[in-house]
Amino acid sequence: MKASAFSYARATSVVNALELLAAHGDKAKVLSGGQSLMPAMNLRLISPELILDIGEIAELRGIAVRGGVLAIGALTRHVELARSPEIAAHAPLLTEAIVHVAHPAIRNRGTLGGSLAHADPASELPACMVALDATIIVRGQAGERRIAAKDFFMGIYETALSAQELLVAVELPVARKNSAHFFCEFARRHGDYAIAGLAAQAIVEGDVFTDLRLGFFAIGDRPVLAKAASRLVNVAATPAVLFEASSALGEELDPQEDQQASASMRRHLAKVLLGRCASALLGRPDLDAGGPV
Amino acid sequence: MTVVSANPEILSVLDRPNSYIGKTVPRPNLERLMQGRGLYVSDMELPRMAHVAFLRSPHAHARIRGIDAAAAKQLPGVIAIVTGKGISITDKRLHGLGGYHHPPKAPHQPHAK
Amino acid sequence: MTARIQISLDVNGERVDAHVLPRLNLADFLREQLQLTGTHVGCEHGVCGACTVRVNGEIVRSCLMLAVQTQGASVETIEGLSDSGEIVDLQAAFRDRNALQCGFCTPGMLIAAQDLLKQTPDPDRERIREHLSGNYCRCTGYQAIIDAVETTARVRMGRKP
Repeated sequence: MKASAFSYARATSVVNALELLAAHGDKAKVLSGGQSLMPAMNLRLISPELILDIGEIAELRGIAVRGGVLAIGALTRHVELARSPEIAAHAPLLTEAIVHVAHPAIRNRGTLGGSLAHADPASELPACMVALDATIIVRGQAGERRIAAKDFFMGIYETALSAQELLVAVELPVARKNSAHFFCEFARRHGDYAIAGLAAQAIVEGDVFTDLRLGFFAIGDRPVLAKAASRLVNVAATPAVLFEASSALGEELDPQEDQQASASMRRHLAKVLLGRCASALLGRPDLDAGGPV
Repeated sequence: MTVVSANPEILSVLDRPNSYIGKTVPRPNLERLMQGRGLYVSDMELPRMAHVAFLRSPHAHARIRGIDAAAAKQLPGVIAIVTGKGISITDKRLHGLGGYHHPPKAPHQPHAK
Repeated sequence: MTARIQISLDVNGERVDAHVLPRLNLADFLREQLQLTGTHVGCEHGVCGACTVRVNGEIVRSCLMLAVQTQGASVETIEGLSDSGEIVDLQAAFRDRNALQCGFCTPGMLIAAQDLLKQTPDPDRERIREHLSGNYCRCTGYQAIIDAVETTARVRMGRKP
């Protein structure tokens, strides 16, 4: 199907983009990578009157490390994240996760800002940002807002971004000493939307987690930072402890049922992911024995 | 498959010397197809060719109360606007095929009327 | 408001100037306005890969780009890659292995395969599958395609096919 008619404007700067957004409000849609916007328009799920192309705004590009903080511009393409030495050094969870996003051709155009602003509950990057304790930087004509990732995602395709605001950058703390990460998603084919997934960032000292952030995705209407993680922090990880954490996780999650999986299947897969994560990061194959769930 | 014949020296149609069976068959069209020079139906362009565009309901599960095609008919280049009503008048055999998961118990008419 | 926009770009090495509606996507622009029908339209939402072209050297879904976004860009289609001889060995391998039946997915497959071999000259079968995972084929069952790409990689590396 073809997109409906619209007018097109190319923003020359963030200020210019914000002027246009303020003028057109929710009749305008921001075109970043276009890899989620264009399918929606081609399928006639949305029919905006104005497409605001931000692809030429130089200040939205770039990956930089400044004083322990990794700053990533909103217009950073997925392929740039994948190839970035700074990301590999300071946020290797992203380097590992990004190759699970769609397919190579999509990754050449899709952007970080676009993926986060689109907030598909089954997508990888929002969960990564939650696990990495990222701050989403948003700008409107009234000024800049800094929103913690865990507060940014509010529902299916719903974020804290207003129609007059632009997501300009993401900041996250660089990986600390003894950092470890884990990423795994269940999908039928390469590049499919996940049926259930986990992006985790941890600090492991000896054989104990001293910090553990579990960002589950595709198990609800937004990425979930599992509170059950606290059951595994600063304790010796025994199968019994894992079982308790697993039960707590099951209680905490409220997965959706859809044509891919039932709620109970998703709950089960989340527990499997938890077991694999603990096992992988602590070097404990006994924890991934698939014990009682 | 064996062919039993009274005289084993008589060749059947299956084992004539120039038979394609057991041979690699040449495909002269491959070059064109790999160069992007195939001719698929949507590649065809004929003189004065008309195009059909389907307009779908912007609302899911809605009831169509009416279709006002007056303004659309005036647009330059429009040959005809056809609605469900128009189709059922000319061809009563055109029944919707029903859902993929729920085959209809009785044939039903095109949805737009 | 929805007026046409003037664009100027490079298509298969030739300068093209056009006056297009914003809503026209790159795939339709190539097919309808330039008659480069080798780029195919399958799903129109980015999953099938039949519309794959190269923009500024990178493979993209032309159904998910607007023609107006290619202002100043260099676009290469299957016709261009074929005519320049860049993929002549890949095409020969596809032919020898019969890696196409109806041929609809083939332009996209060839462009994606060439993209893989430029980045990873020695991919194993799993890597080939991963890179081609965004190109759907309804006819062949993929094995012959993987074989053809693997063979081409071997020959390019100077090994026996």
